[in-house]
Amino acid sequence: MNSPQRWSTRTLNEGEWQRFDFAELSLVILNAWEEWRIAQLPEQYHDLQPFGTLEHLPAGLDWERWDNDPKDSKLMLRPTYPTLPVVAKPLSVLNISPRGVANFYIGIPAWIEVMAECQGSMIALKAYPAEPLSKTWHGTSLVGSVAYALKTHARRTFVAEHWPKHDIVCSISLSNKGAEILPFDRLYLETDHLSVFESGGRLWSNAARIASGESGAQLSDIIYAAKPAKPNSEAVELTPARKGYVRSSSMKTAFSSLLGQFTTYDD
Amino acid sequence: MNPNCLMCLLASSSIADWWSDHDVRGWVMFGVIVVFGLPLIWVLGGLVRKLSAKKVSAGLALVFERITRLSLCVLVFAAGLHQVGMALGDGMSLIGHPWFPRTVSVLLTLTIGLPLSAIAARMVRNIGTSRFSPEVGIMFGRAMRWFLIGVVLATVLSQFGVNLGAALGAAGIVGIAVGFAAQTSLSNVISGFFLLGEKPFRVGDLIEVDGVVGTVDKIGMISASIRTPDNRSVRIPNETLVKSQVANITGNPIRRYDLEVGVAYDEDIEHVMQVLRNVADQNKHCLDEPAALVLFTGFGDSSINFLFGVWMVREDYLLVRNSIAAEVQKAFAREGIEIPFPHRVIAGGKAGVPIEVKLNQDKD
Repeated sequence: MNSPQRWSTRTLNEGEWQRFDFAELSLVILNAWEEWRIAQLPEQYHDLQPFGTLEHLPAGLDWERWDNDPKDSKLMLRPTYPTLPVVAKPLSVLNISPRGVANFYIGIPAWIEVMAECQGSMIALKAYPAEPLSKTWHGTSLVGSVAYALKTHARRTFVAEHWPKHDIVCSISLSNKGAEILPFDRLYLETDHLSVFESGGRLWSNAARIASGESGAQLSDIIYAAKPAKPNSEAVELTPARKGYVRSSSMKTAFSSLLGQFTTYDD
Repeated sequence: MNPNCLMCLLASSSIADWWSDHDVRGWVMFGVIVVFGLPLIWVLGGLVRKLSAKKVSAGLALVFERITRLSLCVLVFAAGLHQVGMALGDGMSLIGHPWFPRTVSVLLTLTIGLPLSAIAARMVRNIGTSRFSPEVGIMFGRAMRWFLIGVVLATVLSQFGVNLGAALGAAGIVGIAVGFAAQTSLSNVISGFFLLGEKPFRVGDLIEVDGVVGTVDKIGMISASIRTPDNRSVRIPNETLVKSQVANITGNPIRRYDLEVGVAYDEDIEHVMQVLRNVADQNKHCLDEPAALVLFTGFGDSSINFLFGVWMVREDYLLVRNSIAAEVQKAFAREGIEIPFPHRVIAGGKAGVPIEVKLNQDKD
């Protein structure tokens, strides 16, 4: 299934089901008995055909159910961000020289949100991680927030073959305006304010820009652009930001290596 | 004469007589005042509520409505009774009675004072909750309410001519006596204030006191109530909470679960440590940071021992506790790492010398 088809609206009539695969996630969605049913496909059924009717469906799937109307048949999947903020840590620390600017890319594994027609309108039923991420703690043992941990290569160039298709690629421009070397060892991304875009069959986030280390200056912010960086600035928005777009996010929580250990957390 | 007209005359005559009876006239007037007054009070109360709701909260508007209705009810009934008194004649007007203004004043004090004390207590509670904590807010609110109720009652008593100075003096003496008698209770009350100031725990925290583990349900003036995991409520006096060692298990957002693990002496220590780290990495509830603790703790009687500590957000504690031991066992089985059982070497006589075994020859 190519990318535009993957995210487009489709019809699933009464008694029909369809299978969807994203990285480690296999979903079966069924429209039957005035219900939408979703199950994650266990390992032993991975040779199941892509779609079918009730008689082709294996028994014993662990269903989650949503009531619908007999006329409801529209279904749509869309990529979204993980439900918690993401702490991206490069596999190797990238040191940015004084007055230097580093551009790099990180890929956030998408969650797949199932939207279906219920009583005539499309509603989000549930989101599933295409690739499960482990949790991490951002803050001290007294205050902080739980986040998903993301280990990233922090690649300097974007080569499509290097990236899984379910990754939302975020381009980051980090400029060190200080007089000392700035180690990039982690980045805290509040994903609630980011949108998912599509361009060239790939998922993109808003471009991010960070300026830090300027002597005498206050801590800067992460500045989020309204669109992905060039050459993908004409990308189409697939999923709007959960809590709306904001231009900046406080550096205090975003870029811990500038602060050493956290002493405060403002949310 | 028209018999019908005669009946009319008789009827009008009896009504006039009946009306001239002072007793009846007074009660009729009372009835009229009440019948017309009460709907009017109902309407006025509603109007007050509607108008005040534009300026204050819905709850406060309701209180204003009730105060209005209660006060007007008092006045209507007083007016009705006054009519009864006037009708009885002989200067027996209720308003003229020396107890009338006092009674009205008392009723008005109660009908206005008590709801106002409730409003003031609620305001103090809200301020305490927003500035400090819900527990402090509740306690300050209660204290304010009882204080204001005391003021209202003192006002009422003074209306009846009770000498408050003497009453307070007597109350002071009684208070000292009660204080001696209720030493423990007072100690608990004071301890309650210390607890609220220090805030070692809050409602909803999981705490351990004197070996009892439970979730804090309520922090009161005298005692706190905690609910144990098997759903028993345990009342702990505040004094005990101040004097004892209290562990707040869920006070911090993240927790560590420690598991003691022993492996056979044949195993490679570094390999075992790496396997344990992998188990923590692969458990979806364990946090990457703070990193899992894998600590060699010593050579045991039968095993090489490690402390395996994994971090999780406090809500995931039970999930991790249930899953991590099973995952360690599976990982060890997969990697061929032996979890030993206690070994006993039985020696007879000198250490290191094998036990001598004698075989008795069978008589057959």
